[in-house]
Amino acid sequence: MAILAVREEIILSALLMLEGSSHGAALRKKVIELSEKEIVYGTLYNLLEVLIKKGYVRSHKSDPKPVRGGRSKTIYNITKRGKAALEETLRMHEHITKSIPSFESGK
Amino acid sequence: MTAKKFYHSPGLARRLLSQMSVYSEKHSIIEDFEETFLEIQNSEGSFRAKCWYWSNTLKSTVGYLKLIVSWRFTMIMNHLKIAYRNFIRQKLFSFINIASLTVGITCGMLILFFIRYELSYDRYHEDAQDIYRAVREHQGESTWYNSSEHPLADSLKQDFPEVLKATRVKRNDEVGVVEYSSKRFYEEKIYFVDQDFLEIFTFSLLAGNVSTALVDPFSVLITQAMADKYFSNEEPLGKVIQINEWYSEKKQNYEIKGILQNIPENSHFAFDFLLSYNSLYSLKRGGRDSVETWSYFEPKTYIKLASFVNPKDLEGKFPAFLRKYKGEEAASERIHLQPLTDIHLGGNLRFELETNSDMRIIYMFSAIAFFIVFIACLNYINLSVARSTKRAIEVGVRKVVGANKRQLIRQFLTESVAFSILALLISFILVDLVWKSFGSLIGRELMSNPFGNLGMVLVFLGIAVIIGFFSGSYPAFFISSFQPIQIIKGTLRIGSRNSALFRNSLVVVQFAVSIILIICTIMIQNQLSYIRNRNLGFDKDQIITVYTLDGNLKRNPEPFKKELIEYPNILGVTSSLDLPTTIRRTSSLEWIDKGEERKSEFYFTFVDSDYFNVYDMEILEGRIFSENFPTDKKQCVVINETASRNLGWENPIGKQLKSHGIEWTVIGVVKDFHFKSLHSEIEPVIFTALNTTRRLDYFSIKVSPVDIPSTIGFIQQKWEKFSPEFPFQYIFLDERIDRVYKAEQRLGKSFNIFTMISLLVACMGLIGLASFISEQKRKEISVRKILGADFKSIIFLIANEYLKCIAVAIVIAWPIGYFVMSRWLKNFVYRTSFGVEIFILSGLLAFIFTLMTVSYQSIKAALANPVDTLRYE
Repeated sequence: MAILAVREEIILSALLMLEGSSHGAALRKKVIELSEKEIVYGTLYNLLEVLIKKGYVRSHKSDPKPVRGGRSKTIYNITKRGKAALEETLRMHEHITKSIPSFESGK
Repeated sequence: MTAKKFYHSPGLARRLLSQMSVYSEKHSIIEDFEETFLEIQNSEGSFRAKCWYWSNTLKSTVGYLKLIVSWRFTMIMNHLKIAYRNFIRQKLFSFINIASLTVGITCGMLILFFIRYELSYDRYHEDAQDIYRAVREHQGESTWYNSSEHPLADSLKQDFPEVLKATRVKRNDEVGVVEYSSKRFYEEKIYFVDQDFLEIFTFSLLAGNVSTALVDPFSVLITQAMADKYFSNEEPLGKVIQINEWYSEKKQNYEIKGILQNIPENSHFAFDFLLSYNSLYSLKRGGRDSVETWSYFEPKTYIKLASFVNPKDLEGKFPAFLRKYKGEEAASERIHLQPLTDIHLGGNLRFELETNSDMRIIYMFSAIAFFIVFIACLNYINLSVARSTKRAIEVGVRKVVGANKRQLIRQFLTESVAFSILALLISFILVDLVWKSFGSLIGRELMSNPFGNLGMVLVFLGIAVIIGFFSGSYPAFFISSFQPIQIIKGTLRIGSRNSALFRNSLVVVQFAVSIILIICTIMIQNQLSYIRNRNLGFDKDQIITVYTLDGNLKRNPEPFKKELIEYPNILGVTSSLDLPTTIRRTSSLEWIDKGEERKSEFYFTFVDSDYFNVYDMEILEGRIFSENFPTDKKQCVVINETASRNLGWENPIGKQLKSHGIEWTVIGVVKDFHFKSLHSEIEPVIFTALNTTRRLDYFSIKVSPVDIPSTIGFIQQKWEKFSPEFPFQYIFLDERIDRVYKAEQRLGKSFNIFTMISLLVACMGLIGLASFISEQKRKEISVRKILGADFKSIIFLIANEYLKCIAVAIVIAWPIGYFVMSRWLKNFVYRTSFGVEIFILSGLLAFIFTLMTVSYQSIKAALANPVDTLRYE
């Protein structure tokens, strides 16, 4: 199983926190909250595109809502593979953090 | 319901966003943006929200553009590659297209440079827009004279505070002699100017002081070129040179007060020596008062106005001004302020310093340039449409693979722009090659080569792109609208009635333009030969003219004349103030006609008793001056026919005229001759006899055509005996006359060349079309041959279509050509008439050219073996 890049990791984490599915705007908000950094939509979509290609995320159109003339939104779901990849990455982080002594004692 | 109702974000940014995004549908970007926008609006206010929206949009714009450009580039490279392959595959078409575009662009470029140069005249002066020349209208005449009265400049400066500076400029038409130590030359470009001259015009001094250089009498400024000529190693400043010109009978010393940079070529001034104007006070016998008089017109007057002064307002004050100085008789005279920058293209008023150009010539040349480029573009359009069958498969495949119409249009436009840019590059080389000869063709040898100017190169690049778009747009739309299904099924018919009509109308336009140009060329040539061959009313052949400054010779010309006439090859000698072509001085005359006192301006000149014989002028009434009547030398005049008519007398012989208080008796009437160019009508002239106070300027020597060099040698030998102080310089009269029509001759020559070029370009297009048609009709021709059609009828089959086009073109061209040329001819008072033969000739030429170009292809088609074309494998 591949190790995720940091930003991919953040997006997948955010998606997971939003109960595994969200539309773009909410996802972006969560990502900003997590990383404490502004993220541009363009970057977000590009990353989502990569994740979709790798099979970690699936997208589908929501049912039209009565607001704004009934235009639908795109909803992103995390897949099983996505969850697994995220778990593995997080585990690796944990392992690394433990193996570096200075992090244990320092600060 | 509009989208506006559902959204709160800025509309323009939203549209931009949805336009740019490739994910627009897949990720519903607009919705996400909208949500975030509303959120920010709620928490931070609508302004911050809008800022956020815009900044995000613009940030992505940059990336988007990069993407587009990189893809465009890839596509353009592909288009160019395809264009290149087609270029190689269809050599004849490519060659014709490139050649005609190149020729068109080259001509256009040359002419544009010429026009730009012409428009640049006199613009290099600082505040050129505030400098004016005061031109005058004489009583009862409609032409403007650029000469004015001597005191005009100073009086303008005194009376009007808005006139900041004023100067007179005076040049005599003839040469002067300049001498320094052993160097002695005739110089033509000697001007008398006031001291404001250097302050009005921007002529920089290399040495000397602008404000004092022309203050003292007998000061002179010389140009760098003259400094090099007379003082190769010495420092010229402060040296004294001797100048002997029309006003001074003996050498005068002038001190060099400054060195001028050489005068730019694009100036209506051309001088080498500037003499201080007040030198004239000492040179003229009457002193200062005889110069500063309002009674005659001599110098040109230039003034510099304060900026923001409207010259029209100032002109309004002139009538009162003139009355103040000249009294009531000036009531009908006017002063007009001609802007400095208009002088060069303002045509020639009377007595210009240099031969000026004319706005009409600029228009004519622009029209030619435009037409040649236009014909070349039509070639491109026509050939591209004609050969589009060859591209049909390509278009079909592209369409099937998914190219949309817009992409195809882009492809064909890329191709045509590539063609025109290639043509432009070749044109740059061509222009550089023909630059010198073009310069001498239009009489601007010293026009600087323009390629140092990057701006101009960019302008041409722009023009080439426009030409590419113009010539490529129709073919692009035409070809890109093919239906792939038709192409692939093979049911596409390009030679359909509609497109044939289109092609033929383009051919008609091209040939109509060419025929108009042919008509113009023939008319110009006709008029020129008419001028050259028209009987001017005097003999102009084999007459050597010699100008003299020598006071001794002027006082006593008879011994010189006597020795000359003894030589067997000299048929006659006469001395006179003017040649028949240089009569320029006017004087006012009073006379009584039917009991009524009348007054008018007449031209006058002084001649000796041999004048009318040497020039072979016909005497209509009375007699000419004779040595046998001593009184002839005093108060007798000979008048020309026009003068006799204007005077109104039935029998003028013996009648009295009055001029400046002196009575004159008319003794003869001479037949009219053209003493001015054929642009203007013959005017009244009064001839009086030379005597000791009425001096001569010219000797005219009629020689026999036998062994002219030794005759000239003899004249020179005698000249050196009688006038040793002055170099011998002569010119044949007909050469002098030709100079007057130089502008027309240049125009004629340029028209010839450019017309040939336009015809050539049009014919190149025809070659291409003819080869296309014969290829299309290959099978038809073969079948016809098998069925027994003969060679002639097959040639006719192909040529027929074009001959019809030409016939239509001729019908269109004739009235237009007639209209244009009859307007041009109006410039000449004496002109040829329009003959039917001109129209027939122009049509015939077009027919012959068409047949010649089409015949090669048709003969080839007619000779082809039917087996080759009909064999089906």
